[in-house]
Amino acid sequence: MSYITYHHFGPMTLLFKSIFQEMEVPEERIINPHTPNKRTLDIGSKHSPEWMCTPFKLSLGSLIECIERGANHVFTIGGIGTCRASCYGPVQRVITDELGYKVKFTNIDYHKPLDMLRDLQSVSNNFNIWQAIGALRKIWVKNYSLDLVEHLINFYRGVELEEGTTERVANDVHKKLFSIKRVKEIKKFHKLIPKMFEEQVQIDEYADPLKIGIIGEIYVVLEPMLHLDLYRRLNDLGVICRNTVSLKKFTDLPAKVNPFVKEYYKIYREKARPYMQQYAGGDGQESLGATILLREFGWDGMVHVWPFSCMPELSAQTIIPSISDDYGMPVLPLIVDEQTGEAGFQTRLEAFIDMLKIKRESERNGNPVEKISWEKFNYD
Amino acid sequence: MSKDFGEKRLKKRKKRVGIPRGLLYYYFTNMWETFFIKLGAEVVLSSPTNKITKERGVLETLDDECYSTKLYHGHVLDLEDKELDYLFVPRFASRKEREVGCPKFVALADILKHTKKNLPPIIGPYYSTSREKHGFWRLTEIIFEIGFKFTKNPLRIIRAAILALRAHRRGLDEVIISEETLKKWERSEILLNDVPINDEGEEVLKVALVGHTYVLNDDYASLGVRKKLQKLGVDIITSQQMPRNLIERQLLRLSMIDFGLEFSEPEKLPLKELEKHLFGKSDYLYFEFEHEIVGTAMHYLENQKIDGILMLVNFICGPVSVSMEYAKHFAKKIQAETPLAILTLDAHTGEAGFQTRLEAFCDILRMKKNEALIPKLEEQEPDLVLENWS
Repeated sequence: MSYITYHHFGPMTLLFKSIFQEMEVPEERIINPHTPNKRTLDIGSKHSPEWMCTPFKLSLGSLIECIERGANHVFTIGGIGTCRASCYGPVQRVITDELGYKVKFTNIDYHKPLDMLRDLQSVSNNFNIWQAIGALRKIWVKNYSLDLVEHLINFYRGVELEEGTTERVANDVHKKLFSIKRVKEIKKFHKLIPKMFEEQVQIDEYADPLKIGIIGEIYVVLEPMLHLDLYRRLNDLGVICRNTVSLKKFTDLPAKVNPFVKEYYKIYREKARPYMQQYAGGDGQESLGATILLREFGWDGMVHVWPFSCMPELSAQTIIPSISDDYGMPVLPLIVDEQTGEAGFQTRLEAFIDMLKIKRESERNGNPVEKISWEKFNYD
Repeated sequence: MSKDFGEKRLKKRKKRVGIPRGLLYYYFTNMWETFFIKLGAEVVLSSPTNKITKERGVLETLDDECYSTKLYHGHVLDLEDKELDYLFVPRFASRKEREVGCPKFVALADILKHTKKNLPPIIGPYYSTSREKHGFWRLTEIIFEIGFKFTKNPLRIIRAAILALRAHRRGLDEVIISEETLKKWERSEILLNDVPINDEGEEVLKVALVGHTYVLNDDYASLGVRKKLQKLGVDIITSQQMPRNLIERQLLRLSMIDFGLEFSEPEKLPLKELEKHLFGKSDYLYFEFEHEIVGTAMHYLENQKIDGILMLVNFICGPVSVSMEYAKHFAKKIQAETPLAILTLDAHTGEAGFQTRLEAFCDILRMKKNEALIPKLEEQEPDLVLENWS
């Protein structure tokens, strides 16, 4: 009897959970990771190589916690990649083996959609290939909605009048989204989501918030434990923000197969060509491209979060100062690891936002404050 | 008339190409130099790593960049005022289908372009077999793209390319030894590197020096480890001298746990059959330059024919953090008796501390080899006086 598990990875956790539900794996055979805490990170960093990147440590900690709860079949990331992200699976297997756990590892290679499908099919309730595609289809459709909700939260929470309304609405939306079974209805619901927020959350239309984009390594940008709730901190300071990294990169299979679809990250990469000609692993190139693109949309600044010892983001960070100079876009680099403290984080964010306010005042030249709305904020 | 002719000659001076002496240069030394020289260019190398290189490089880069990259920046700064026409910094990603190099190599050319101002135009061809499926045609394209910058004669370019590839292969043949030679070395019949200098009566130690080529072959960056070991009476073999077949076979065993073939003897596994088994499996150490590190460490941990393994790594090197884990795991798994020491290098490593550590390592190896030397703790009689008092 195999008990399936996977590591915690921001919104990917929800998606994995529903993949196995769609594949009709009995509920008692899925062991879902709980939200990581300090202990998770401590276990992970205790058993990982010293210079490994922080996402590896957190995911290892999460896996070990699940294995302790009885799991013996792990789904992780594998394959041939460019940076270390793709060898998480093999190295984690070696480490759990050394700790004495008897665990089977299945490494999902997201570069090869067919293999990925077959791996997932193997745990399903005797699904054939078409049923498996059908189940996966729900996942990528749900992921569009998840991304949208994420953007909506980060917009409305910054300008809401009554604290907490946005999150209440978001919770309702999440619950509804994961209870819908049919793809058509999910798509119908997807169109209603912005309206739900608009009707239920009251916003201060003349608040004139700063607009900040968040770039960086995907795991850190999407995992609240590692970025120390960066979005909430920014929102509490009266800033609206938006993450430029999305799970679509992994889950959006039709866009991968179809060459005519312009995925968001392909646009960023095109933008970044003059500064970094070729893809150098991770999200380095996207970080550069997003900085340029958001400046052209008139955003105020960027926050660049990345884990200590991440190779691609280090390359990006070396180039970012020259983009800052050329486009006049302020970028705040924030390196996180297992020892990052909250106080220093908060101080730096506050200082950065004060600087941005001064910069904006000097550039405004007495123009009146514009009314804000979701339509103006959204650039998709 | 003759004056004009002289001016024309002066104008037609050879184009100068600068190659920083760091990172990939150590892997492709012969290929690059031969190619540019046969194209009719003048190759200008940066001076060997020294204190000035280090200090300038460290000032130019971010804190958590690896030591070798910091030195590379220093080498580029060294080339800055040498009147170059081009600087050669290739965007090298990989050369085999299932392997990649370090991701930093790809971004290096762009980083240099945007952080330094007085640089000549950079020649930075992109080559990636794993991601973009580049192959023979892309290589031809690169060769002609570079070649036409120096000469208009396509035949000359082709000749240069062929000679360069031949020089590369010859260079590899010179460095990499065959399995028979390796066995001879293990039986102490021949020497592969410098003759060890040892005091009278002291035995010669056999140590495998494991690490990246750009660390081991850089005398300053590795703090002269070869000479230091030579003076300590150590006969070394470096990881890039190891036979490739042996390394590949060792590596395949890493991903075999799921197939029930865990850690069986490598000689008994036919390579082709194994590859068939593993084809398409997404479980493989894909960092190309780590292969020799892990493979050598695994080989010597297992066969126990030498006295010790010394691993020299750069601080915060990404790929090495993976390969170190594999080597440590393997040592624990087979309960290896060969000692494995890992020494870290960075810009602040002091020479004295390094020397002490090497000496201590050699002393331990000698003690282990000659067990009589180990001072045995004699069983002492219990302190009777105290007992009486109490």
